[in-house]
Amino acid sequence: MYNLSDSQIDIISKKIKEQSLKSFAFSDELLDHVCCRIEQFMESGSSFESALSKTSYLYQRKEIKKIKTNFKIIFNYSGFINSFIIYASLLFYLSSWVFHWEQVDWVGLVAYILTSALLFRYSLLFYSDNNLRFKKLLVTFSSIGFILFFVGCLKRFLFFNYGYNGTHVMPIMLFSWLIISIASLIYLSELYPKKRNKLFYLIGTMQIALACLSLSTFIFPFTMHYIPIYATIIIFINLLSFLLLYAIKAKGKCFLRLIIVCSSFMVFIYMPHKVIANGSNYKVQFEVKTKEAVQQSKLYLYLNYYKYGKEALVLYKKTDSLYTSNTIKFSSGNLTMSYAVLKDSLNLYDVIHNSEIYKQKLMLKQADTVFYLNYNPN
Amino acid sequence: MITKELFKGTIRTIVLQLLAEHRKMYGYEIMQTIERKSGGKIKLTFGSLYPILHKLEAEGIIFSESESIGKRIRKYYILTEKGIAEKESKVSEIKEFIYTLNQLLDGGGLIHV
Repeated sequence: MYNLSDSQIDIISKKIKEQSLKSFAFSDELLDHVCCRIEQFMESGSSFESALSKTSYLYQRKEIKKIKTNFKIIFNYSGFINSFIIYASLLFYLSSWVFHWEQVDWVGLVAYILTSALLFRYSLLFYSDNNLRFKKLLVTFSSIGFILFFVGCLKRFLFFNYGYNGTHVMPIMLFSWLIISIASLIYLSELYPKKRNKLFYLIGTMQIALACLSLSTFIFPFTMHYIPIYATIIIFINLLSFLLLYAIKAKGKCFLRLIIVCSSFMVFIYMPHKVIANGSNYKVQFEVKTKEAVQQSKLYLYLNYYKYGKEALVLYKKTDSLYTSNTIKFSSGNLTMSYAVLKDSLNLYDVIHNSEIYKQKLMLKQADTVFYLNYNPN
Repeated sequence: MITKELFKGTIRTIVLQLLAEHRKMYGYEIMQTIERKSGGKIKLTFGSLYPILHKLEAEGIIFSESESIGKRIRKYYILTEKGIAEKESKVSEIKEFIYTLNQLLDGGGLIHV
C-alpha cells in the first residue's frame, strides 16, 4: 500500500486551506480522505500530481460550502441558535412585563434587540442563499420588516426613557409585522414549492390578517373601541399557533415563531393602556379639594397605572378650592394606581421622571366612583 | 446504480452494521467498503457520509479515536453500547421493510378487493 510522504501531505493540506477561508469541523477528516484517495490512485499507477488534480474536486470551495451546509442541515445549528434567541427574548420580555421596570426598561429593550437581531439574521440568510427563487423579494421584505421593527422599538424606548419624539411608534411596528408576515409566506413557498404545508400557510396567512386588523385601528377610528377584543383574539391565536408549531417537525417554523413573538410584543405594547382608556364598565370621576384657594383655572392629574401606562387628566375649576375631572371610563376594576396633582402641564417624559406621581396610591374597586383627592399647592 | 433517494434513509443503518462487523473503521474505509460490497451500486460522497458520522457521534451511538498517520490525523469510529442496541433494532426494522417491499412488489402482499 502506498503511503504519502510528509511533504506531499503538506502540499495537499495547503491546497485545502487555500480553498477554505475558515477552519471547519471536518478539516482533519477531509485531509485524510483526500490523502486516501490520492494513495489509491497512486497504487493504480498515477503520479502524485495527476492524482492530486483528479481529487481536487473534493476540496473545491463550492464543495466545502456544500458539505458545511449539509452539516448545518443535519445538526440544525441554525434552528438551535434561532430558537435560543426567541426563547431568550421571551424571557427578557416577560421579566420586563412582570416586574415592569418602567423607569429605564433596559430588560425590555434587550428583548426587542434580540428579536430585531434575529430578523436581521434572517435578512442575511436570505441574502446569502443563492438558491432562493424570490431572493430579492425576500431580502427586501425581511430587511424593511427588520428596520421598521428596530426603529419602532428604539423610538419607543427613547421616548419613554429620554423624552425623544415618540410619534408613529405603533403604526411603524404594526407595519413591520405586516411586512415580515408577507415575507413568511414567500419563504414558505420557497421551502415547500410542490407540497404545501397547510398549517404553516394557515399560520402565515393568519399573521397577515391580524397585522391588517391591528393597522385598521389607525385607519378607521371607530375600530379603536374594539381594540381589547382584537388584542384578546391576537393573543389567543398567537398562543395557539405557537403551541401548534411544536407539533410540526419541518423547516421554517422558527421564522413563524419569530413573527408570533414580535406581534405579541406589539400587542402587549399597544393593548394595555387602550384597554383601560377605552373601556365602558367603570365610570370614574376625580374631585380635587385644595387646602387653600388657588388662582389657576386648571390643575393636572397624572395617573400612573404601573405596567398599563400613564394618563394625564385636566381638572377644571368649580369653586376656589374644588376642581373636577371629566368622567373617564375603564374596562376593569381592582386597578391599583398612583397619582399626583400638579399645577403644570407636563409632557410624558417629565411625567415618567417626576417622583411625585409614585408617592400617593389609590385603587379602583367599583364602578361609578368619585375619587376625592387633596391638593396642597405648597 | 441505486438512486440516492432510495438508500438515503438506510445509510445510518449500513454504517452501524459495518462498524459492528469491523469494530473500528474510518470514513474513507466505510465508503470504500459500502461501494465494494454493493458492487458499485451504492456510492457515498464525503458530504453525505461525514455529517452522518458526526451526528451519530453527537447522539452517543458511536465514538471516535484519533490516530496520527505521519502528518495527518485519522479518525476511527467505534460503536458504543447504545450503538449496538440501535444497530440491532435498525437492522431488523430494515429487514422487515425489505420483506414487506418484496411482498408488495412480487404481488403476494397486495390485497385485491
